[in-house]
Amino acid sequence: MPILNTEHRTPNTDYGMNGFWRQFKGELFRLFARKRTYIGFGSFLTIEALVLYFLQKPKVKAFYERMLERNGYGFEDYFSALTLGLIILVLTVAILGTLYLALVAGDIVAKESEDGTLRMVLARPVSRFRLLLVKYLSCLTYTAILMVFLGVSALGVGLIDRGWGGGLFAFLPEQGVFSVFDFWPGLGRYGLALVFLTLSMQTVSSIGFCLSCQRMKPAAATILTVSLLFIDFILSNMPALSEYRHWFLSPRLDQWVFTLRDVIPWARMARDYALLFGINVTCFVVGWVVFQVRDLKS
Amino acid sequence: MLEFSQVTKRFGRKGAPALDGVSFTVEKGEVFGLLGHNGAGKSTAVGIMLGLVYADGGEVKIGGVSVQRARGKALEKTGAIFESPCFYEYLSGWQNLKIVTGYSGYWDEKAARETVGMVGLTDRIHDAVVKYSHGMRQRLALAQALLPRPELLLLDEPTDGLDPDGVIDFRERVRQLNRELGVTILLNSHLLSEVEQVCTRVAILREGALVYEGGLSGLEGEGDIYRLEVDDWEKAVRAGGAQGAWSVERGRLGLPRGADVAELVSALVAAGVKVRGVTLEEESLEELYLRVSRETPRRGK
Repeated sequence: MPILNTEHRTPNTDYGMNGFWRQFKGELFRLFARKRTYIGFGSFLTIEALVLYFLQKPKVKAFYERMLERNGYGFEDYFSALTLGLIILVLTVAILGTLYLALVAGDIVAKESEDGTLRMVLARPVSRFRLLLVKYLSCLTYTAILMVFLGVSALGVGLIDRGWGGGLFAFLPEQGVFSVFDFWPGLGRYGLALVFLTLSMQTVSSIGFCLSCQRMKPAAATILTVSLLFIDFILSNMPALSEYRHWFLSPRLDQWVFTLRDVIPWARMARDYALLFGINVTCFVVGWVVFQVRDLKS
Repeated sequence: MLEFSQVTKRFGRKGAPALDGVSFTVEKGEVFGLLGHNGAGKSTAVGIMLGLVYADGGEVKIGGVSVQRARGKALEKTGAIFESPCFYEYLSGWQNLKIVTGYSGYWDEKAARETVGMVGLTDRIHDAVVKYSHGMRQRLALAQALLPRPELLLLDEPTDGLDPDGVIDFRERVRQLNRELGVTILLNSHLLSEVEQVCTRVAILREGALVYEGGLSGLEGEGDIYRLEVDDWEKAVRAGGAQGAWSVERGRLGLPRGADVAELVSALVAAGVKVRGVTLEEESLEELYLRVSRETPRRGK
């Protein structure tokens, strides 16, 4: 009996876009097949529920009521699903978003290198550049899916609590945002804010990815990413360094909140997002260059 | 099929070379063993063959294509297995195959099913890899290595950690692949018995240097060695010399390949040497390994 019925001949391979798409789908599938992905998403839902719980506290409600009514807006009209959704989204991303994305991005190359699966994949006729590009794009896609999930679930939590309707009250004093919108314009602004928040978080993932390509443990890549962002945040908020605030990353990452201003400063946002895009590309290139010259040995 | 030419590799600036101008050739259709102690440079050599490790000098060609210059093309018809095969543990064997094979630029479900059947994993292929035994992982590793339908299979310590049944099973599969599909195999191992049973030729690395390349007996190309029991060794050497024979050591005479031992015996008898016994001596791989190891002691020993 022959060992194989089919002919033993190397099949026609597709290194073009179809092949790339297959590899990208495989990588994305791999990311979403992990149990930890769902544990992470579950943790986000828990935090959202926790934030909602605190938003029900009388003193918290009183704070928002005071804030709205002092400015001539009705509490019942603007302490709505959209407003709750925005507060929940901001707090959830601040509490866990950065850490979680740093964890995912920090793992993406370093964990595979540590586990040995990278060697198995790179024993194939795939270039290191292409492999990294597939991983980077899947990491960015993962980030986008996570942010959409957070945006939708935060709004969902708000809807469960406050029901359909009501306006959006955006109050982010650090960034000088104090705006109110009716429901539909508010929903549009909420969606726009989510898009730009996603773009900002891509930079967090890019930094994690870049560090993951270095010769370091996945945990080290994650910790370093979070540390870098934390130090950047602290320094950028030091009064003594206020004149140099534009040197830091945190103010750029916060640009998404300007989509909630009455008049969106598009030119400023375009400049800062172009800069973030440049940082993303730089992170990928630096990660690739370092990875390209590395020996991959057991 | 595989040309490993003057390859040099050093990890770090001050370290000893992991490979020092190593050259050997693996012919199409053969099962070639790469032997050496731990740290001899075997895995580094396999890493360089796959472009995972960069050589400082020299070149590796697979099917005439340079790995250094056109890695993708060189590896198109190559499969590889590493010691302690690693997979995405939380995925099934099938999903692992699909993802990994995707990096070869194709996925053929029929071929995959057939390959899975060949390695005997059909019943468990949809289980998560985390539930696999070491032997099952090794079979999955073989399946992934076979999915590009390779002409060259690089096996890096493939039986490490397998139980005796697993070793025998794996060895038989390797033989079968070579015999029935004509797959060229490079087996990197430090298990002499394994190499002896599977390979037709070997290269021995020691401290990053090639100390032997040739047949398993170590005498291929030179001739055969005969153990002689004679009354006068010096006279036997003189008489044998006329037949092209040479003294290996006292009591052992080398005869050029193709020469007739009967003629040697006749010449010895004609010269007045009393011949009491003639035995063809075959050097085992272990003896060969020990001999070349003795000739090239390890650094610092």
